[in-house]
Amino acid sequence: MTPLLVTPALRRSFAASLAVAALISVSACSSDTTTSSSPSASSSASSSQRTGGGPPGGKGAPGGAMQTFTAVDLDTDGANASNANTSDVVTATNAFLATLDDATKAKVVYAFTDNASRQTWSNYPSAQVPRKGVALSTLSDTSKAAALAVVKTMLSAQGYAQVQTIQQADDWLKANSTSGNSSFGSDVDYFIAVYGTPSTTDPFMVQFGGHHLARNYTYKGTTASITPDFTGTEPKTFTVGNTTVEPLKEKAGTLFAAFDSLSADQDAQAKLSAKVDDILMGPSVDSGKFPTTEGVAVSSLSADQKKLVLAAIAAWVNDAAPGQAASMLKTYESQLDQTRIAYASSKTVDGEDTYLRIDGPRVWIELVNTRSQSTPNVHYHGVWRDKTDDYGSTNPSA
Amino acid sequence: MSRHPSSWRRGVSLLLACATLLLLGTASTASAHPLSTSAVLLDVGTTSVSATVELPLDELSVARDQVLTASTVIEASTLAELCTYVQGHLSASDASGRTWSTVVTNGRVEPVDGVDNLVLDATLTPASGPVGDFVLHDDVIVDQLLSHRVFVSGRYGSTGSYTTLAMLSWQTQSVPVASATPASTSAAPADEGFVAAVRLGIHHIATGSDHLLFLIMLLLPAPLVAAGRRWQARPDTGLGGAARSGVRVVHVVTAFAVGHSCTLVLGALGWVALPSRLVESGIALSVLVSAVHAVRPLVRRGEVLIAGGFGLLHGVAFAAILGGLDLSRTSLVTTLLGFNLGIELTQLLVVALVMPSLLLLSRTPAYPAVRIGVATLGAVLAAGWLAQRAGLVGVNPLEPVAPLVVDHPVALAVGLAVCALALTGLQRVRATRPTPRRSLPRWAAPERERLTTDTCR
Repeated sequence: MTPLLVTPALRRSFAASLAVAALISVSACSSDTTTSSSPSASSSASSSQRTGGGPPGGKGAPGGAMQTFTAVDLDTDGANASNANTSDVVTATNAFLATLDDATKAKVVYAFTDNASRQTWSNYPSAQVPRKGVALSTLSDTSKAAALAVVKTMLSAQGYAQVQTIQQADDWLKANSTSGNSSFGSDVDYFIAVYGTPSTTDPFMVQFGGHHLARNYTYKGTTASITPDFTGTEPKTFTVGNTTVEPLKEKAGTLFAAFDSLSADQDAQAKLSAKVDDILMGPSVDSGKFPTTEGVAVSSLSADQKKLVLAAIAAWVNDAAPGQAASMLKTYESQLDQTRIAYASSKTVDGEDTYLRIDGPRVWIELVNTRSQSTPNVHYHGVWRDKTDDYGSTNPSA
Repeated sequence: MSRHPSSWRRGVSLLLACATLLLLGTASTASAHPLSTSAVLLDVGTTSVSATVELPLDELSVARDQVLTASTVIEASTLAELCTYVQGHLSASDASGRTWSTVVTNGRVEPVDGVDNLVLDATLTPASGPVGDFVLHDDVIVDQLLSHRVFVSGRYGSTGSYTTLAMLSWQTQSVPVASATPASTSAAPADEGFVAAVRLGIHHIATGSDHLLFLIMLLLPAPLVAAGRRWQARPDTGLGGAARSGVRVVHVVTAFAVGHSCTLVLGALGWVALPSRLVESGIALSVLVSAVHAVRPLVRRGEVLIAGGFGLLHGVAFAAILGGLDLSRTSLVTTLLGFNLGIELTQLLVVALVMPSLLLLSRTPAYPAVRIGVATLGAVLAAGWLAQRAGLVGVNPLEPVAPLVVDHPVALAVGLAVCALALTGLQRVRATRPTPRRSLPRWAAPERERLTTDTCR
């Protein structure tokens, strides 16, 4: 009964979306568009044409859509990592699906060809950007354990610990957020979805993620694609009981170590002229177009510095199960001399617009300090993408 | 619950206090990751294109590498620099690739979603001839701050809602814009800003059965006076009583107007925002409270209090409608005035249609039945809305009933007038023949009679 209205607030929050590529492609081609939406606040580029008046008591619904996801073309020819533990993941996924009743299963399983849904991941909480699949909180204890077993199988021990610490940060926010978002929490804010039929021969994908986390693992035979992979945390450090938790300690620590090693001359080459206050290759930026390569060439760095860069890359890649991680890392290592590293504004840990980037022929890693209303300090957004393997696709294109 | 008047009064005061607190104490809902974005709002005309450019100061500061506050940004030298900067990064070009002229003026600071924005007016003019299809280029802020986003929207004619055209970013800094749409070119001349806003105001209240019902519930007891917890007919009959009833109506309508105007302005400026569900539920509650008040006075002069207090809430809803227009800031005042005028006009029309009938009816023995019947209907409808809007029920079973009222306002008003005249006529006829009063059913006993019986209790 409430008509759709685009209030300034809605416009603004819509504007806050990372939907640039998506929006452009709406006019460029006729791909499917799905919008993160709730019934009262669904919004897309076209809904702003709607005007007021109408049914009894009809007024606007502020808030709502933060992102629009538009399907881009995805093939299955991505330059996947080899040595994937596909059969283990198939077993774990089937075991998980077997615990579900038909209604729940229907919510978990999507067609592998549902590209817009496969691209639905975000740094936002699920309250702002609803995820595909089902929330852990809606599953029975048995199903939830089976779902987490799938995630555990996809990842390394380090990768699974990363998931847990990011979820802990969300629990911390639930208890401490100044913006009072009760939708935070390790149970309610994290979702699992399966695309296609788990198979050791045909492509399928398992998606697990939520606030500050996106694991998009696409399997094809014994190979796997591990990107796009988003990890972030707010706050950067917090305590649970007497333990200090720093979810991105390894990723940020290794990356800062690489940039800290730069000489004045190298530093000058690494510094971008422009500024950046959030990741550029974020959610729904799936056009396949990456920024122009800039920064200091890793080939010009010392052997020790190269090790630091490789360690920083490894901190992201090693989240995946060991076989495919080793395969992927070997590829990136072989391309190290064609890789550059760059930073913007500042490279201090708590710098206002600290932005660090690794940019290779395939590897793309960004880490940035960004702001929110939930806590007073900056926090991390980080993304790892593969220029020829995101979603297991050689070249996603709008 | 005690039915003692003072506890009723306390209840209503509490309710009003709560509503006011909610209004004052809540800012817009916080998101976990706000991103300040620019906006370019295009008004595509026939000889030039005007653009309202909104630049959030926080992002502008980062891009310009200088701290820009609401006061420093409009210092003459800074503003001149920024106008030049925007002029150099905002342009249009036509099909032949010729770049139009860009003139940027009128810098001011306005809040958009709680963030101060530098707002500028830009005029884009073709080198020669009328406005044809063009490409808008904009990399203001984005040229320095790569992660910045620019939201571009446009409209034709000087009013109506903007249509999203594109989100510009480091990936794309231009968007094609059509010179006009066939529909808009024919509609545009008749649709001047102020008139359109008045029309929107009329349309909104005339089709918003909850606003109408709220008003009618408040008018129901206007011809009466409260004595303790009962309504009574005015002891002063004739023109004097009618005049005093009229004054009461003026108070109610004025209180409502003042209430909703306050929050309409605050809401339109973005200073007050409430979750729509809360507002919608509150409006349903306002109808319910006013309906109960029409049955039994909740508090002395309660209809004025209710009209004013809940008027605040209705204003928030009106502001949401205005927000739907996605106003360019320059026309905000005009639109606000027009919209409010539309609302008041419609309100007065409703009063003019309904009040004479109510005045007549209030002097017939049937008025308590009419009043209680209408109020009960209102209360039931309001309870249905409240349950639905508060999420207690999925579908409101009464939903089809409300539009019946809205769709046939004239028929209803005429019907009411006919009833009023008929009953008045009937009373006159009876007055000429002595009728034993006790034979009337108790509920139909004239209210004036109650005045005397009340004193005996």
